[in-house]
Amino acid sequence: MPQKKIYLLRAGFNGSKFQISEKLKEEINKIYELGLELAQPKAVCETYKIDSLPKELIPKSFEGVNSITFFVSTLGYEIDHYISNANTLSSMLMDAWASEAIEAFNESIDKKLRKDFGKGTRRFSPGYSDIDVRKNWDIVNNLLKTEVVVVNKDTGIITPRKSTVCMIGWYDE
Amino acid sequence: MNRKDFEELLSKKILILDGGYGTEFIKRGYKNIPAEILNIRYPEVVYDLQSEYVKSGADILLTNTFSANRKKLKELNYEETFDKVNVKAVEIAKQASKGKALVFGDLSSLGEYPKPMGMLEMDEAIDEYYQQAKVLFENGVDGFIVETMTDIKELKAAVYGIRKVTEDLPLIAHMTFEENGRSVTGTSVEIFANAFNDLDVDVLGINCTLGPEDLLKVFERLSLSTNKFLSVEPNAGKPIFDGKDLEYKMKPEIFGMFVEDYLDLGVNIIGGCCGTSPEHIKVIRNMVKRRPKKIIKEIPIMYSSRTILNKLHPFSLIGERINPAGNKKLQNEIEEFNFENVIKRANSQKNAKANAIDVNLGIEKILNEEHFKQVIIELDKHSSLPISFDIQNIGFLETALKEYPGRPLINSSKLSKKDLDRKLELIKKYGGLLIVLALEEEILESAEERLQLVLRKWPYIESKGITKDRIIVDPLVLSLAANNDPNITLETVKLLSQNGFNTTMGLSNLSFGLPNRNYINAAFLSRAKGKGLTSAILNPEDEFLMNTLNGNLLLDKNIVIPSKVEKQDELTEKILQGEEGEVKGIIENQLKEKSPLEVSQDVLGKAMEKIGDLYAQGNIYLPELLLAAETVKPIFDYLNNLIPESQNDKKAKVVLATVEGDIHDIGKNIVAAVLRSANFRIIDLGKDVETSLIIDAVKKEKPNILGLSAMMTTTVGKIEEVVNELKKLSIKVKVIAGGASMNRKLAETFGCDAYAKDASEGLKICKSWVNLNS
Repeated sequence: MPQKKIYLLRAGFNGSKFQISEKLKEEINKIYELGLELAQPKAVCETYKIDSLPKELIPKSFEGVNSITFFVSTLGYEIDHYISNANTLSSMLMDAWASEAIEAFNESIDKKLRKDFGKGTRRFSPGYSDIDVRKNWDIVNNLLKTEVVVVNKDTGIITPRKSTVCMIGWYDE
Repeated sequence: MNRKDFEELLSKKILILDGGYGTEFIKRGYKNIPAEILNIRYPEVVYDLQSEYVKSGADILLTNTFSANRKKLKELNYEETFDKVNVKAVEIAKQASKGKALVFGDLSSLGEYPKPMGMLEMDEAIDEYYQQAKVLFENGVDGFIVETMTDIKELKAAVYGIRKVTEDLPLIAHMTFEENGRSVTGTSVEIFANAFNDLDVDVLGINCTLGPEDLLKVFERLSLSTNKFLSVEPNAGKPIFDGKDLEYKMKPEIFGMFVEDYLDLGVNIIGGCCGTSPEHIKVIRNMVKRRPKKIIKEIPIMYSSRTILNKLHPFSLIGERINPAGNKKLQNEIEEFNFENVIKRANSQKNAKANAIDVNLGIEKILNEEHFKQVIIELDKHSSLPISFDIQNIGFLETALKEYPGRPLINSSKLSKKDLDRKLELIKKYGGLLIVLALEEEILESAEERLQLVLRKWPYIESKGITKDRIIVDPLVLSLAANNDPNITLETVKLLSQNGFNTTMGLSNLSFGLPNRNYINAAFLSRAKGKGLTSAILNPEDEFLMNTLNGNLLLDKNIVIPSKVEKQDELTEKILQGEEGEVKGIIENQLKEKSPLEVSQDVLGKAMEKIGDLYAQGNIYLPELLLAAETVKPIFDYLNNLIPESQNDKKAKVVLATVEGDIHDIGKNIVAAVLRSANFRIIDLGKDVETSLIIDAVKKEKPNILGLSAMMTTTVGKIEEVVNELKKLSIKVKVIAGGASMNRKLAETFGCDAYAKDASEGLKICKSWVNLNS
């Protein structure tokens, strides 16, 4: 579950200068509740020894790791459908909620993995630093071999919209 | 755990209480046995549940003793188990806590209210709680909680009983309220806080009856009324009766949605009540990711009865008419426990708009404790105004205070050490405001001497833990007939006011024995009010006096209402609140005098422009702007249907598109809504739009502005493609770009006219372009 404060921050409530109207509070809670109902969180994880991976999938900052866990996480198509069809306010709030929900979901996966694998790098997604966002396609199709999400090979865009591809490097044997 | 350590802990960390017991035991198949009896029959069931609560992250476990007071157990025919049930409860909770959670002794209602709401004597109620608290204390609880209390007097009895056992352990006091913020016996949240702010409890809170969403508004009222630590235990939603059982069905995740709202209001301890389970507690634990928020509130000085709460400022009017001095008949009635005329006088003063009533039963030597107990019970039963206790005998005064449900005034104490000590001890124990006379034994001659006496005694009062807002000073009013100078009193009021003291006076003393008393009293009251007098004991049924006072209050009136944004006109306010129906009503009225086009442009359009400006200036949040936009959309549509086609729309036109390959368009949609709300005409081409389609649309629509959005690094190049194509075709249009992967430098490189980091900036830029052209 995402923190409400962060969800609101993402939705544009940057500070606590003003009172939010009752009507808006209702809308905020309605979307949170609906988000919980519509989200279908799924994740697929695979861990590879470093020497079995192509170089272009290993970020420079992962130097010294022995293995990398790749995972794809998604909240599913229902959320997308809602965002595309609701009015601007509701879809904007749902977009903000879902962005934080997928982050909270990733955080819980991250925690669990660290419990199992010990010392690791920070969580990392293609598109940042030296890994091209289009590598999402290779990771999802070649390493994770899953159809829970679809990646556009040319742009690296993932559908459902609220999906992420992540990787964490592990130092321990 | 001692209270200082507990206070320190609460300052650093938000603590998690456990969840429901009764509902969980029922769920686990123990429906036909009182929950507390499980302690001795099936201790493992209690142990398992409590272990689960600890595992879920509870910092405080409650002993399974909610109804284990002797009175309740007797009702259930288990009286002989009283000791065993309570002893065992502490033992089980301590084992289950495994040293990771504090164990608080749990106490609740006796099943019968103290008088007048029930038949129980207050002393009996106090003793019941004392007995249970004693067993829990002797068996090693870390603190106490009194919860699900619906009667303020019963809650007071619990606190007095527990504090008789120990003053060293923390104590949490909870009341239960309906959605309207009143308890079953008529006490409001604010009165609960007002009375208990003075009492020797560490935490005030609310539990039961309501789910987290409904309880939030009630809890907010509590949070604004106290500076004590706060706790809350909502139910798992509303109970659902399936014809056989009551069930609470709110899922832990939905319950958890509201946790942060309570944190925002400054809650220090949060748990669950009926229907909540270890799963709920686990979710609460996960949602608490911050340190406690200490919000210090400016709480006005107030006093209360069970159902009436009044502020001391700007002026408090204390009715003087319950006083049998010179009225033999009334004195006899009181002596014979006939309080009919006392009640009548209380009610007539209430009708005359007194804020409190001074209760003086006359010659105390001929009365006993029972008189004082009875008079308070009778006045409470008749929903009296708050009381000012004018009782000389210290024992009688204590009896009355013990019996009183609200926050009283105590009239009065001299500044001699002996009198002061006794009275200060009483207000520390029972709460209330103390009126102190500006004299020790002898009446001082000058105003300066009276002030100096008060100032000399003040550090001593403060050293007893009493703050200035709990003291009201009486400057002493002496009879004019005995040649006393009234100006000394007036000057004393002035000096006391200048030194930050609240003041009161017995007005009638002034004119004793003189003709036309009400004229003299009224004139003197006017003058005293002018010197800063905060309250007076007077006759509220004296019409002349009351009119004079009201005139003074009117002249002094100075009320400032803080507002979130500068007050808007009604239409703008209603739009901001999302009140679609109300907005439609205002528009319908406007249509009686103006054409649909005028209403659309000059009324609704202007209001939305104002709201757009509020947003652009950072005075409202984006979601508020979007709510406003959603609110007016159907009304604009309605007006547009009324406007003849021949009347051209002169709005500036903007074409918007998310470029090819990009399927994320939430940002672009927000920009569209924001621009629409500022009276721009928007042609939204949608997402993943090919360059050729964007060019075609620009050719066809001839907009003032083209807005392009790209989110991905892999699609951002399409913006350049569109700009190049426009140049190639010599199409003149201002291009503004945005989106997660765009930045100012990139926009310049691509040849765009502007970059906007968000909708607010986009709005400012578009407005400036349009204003330049117009």
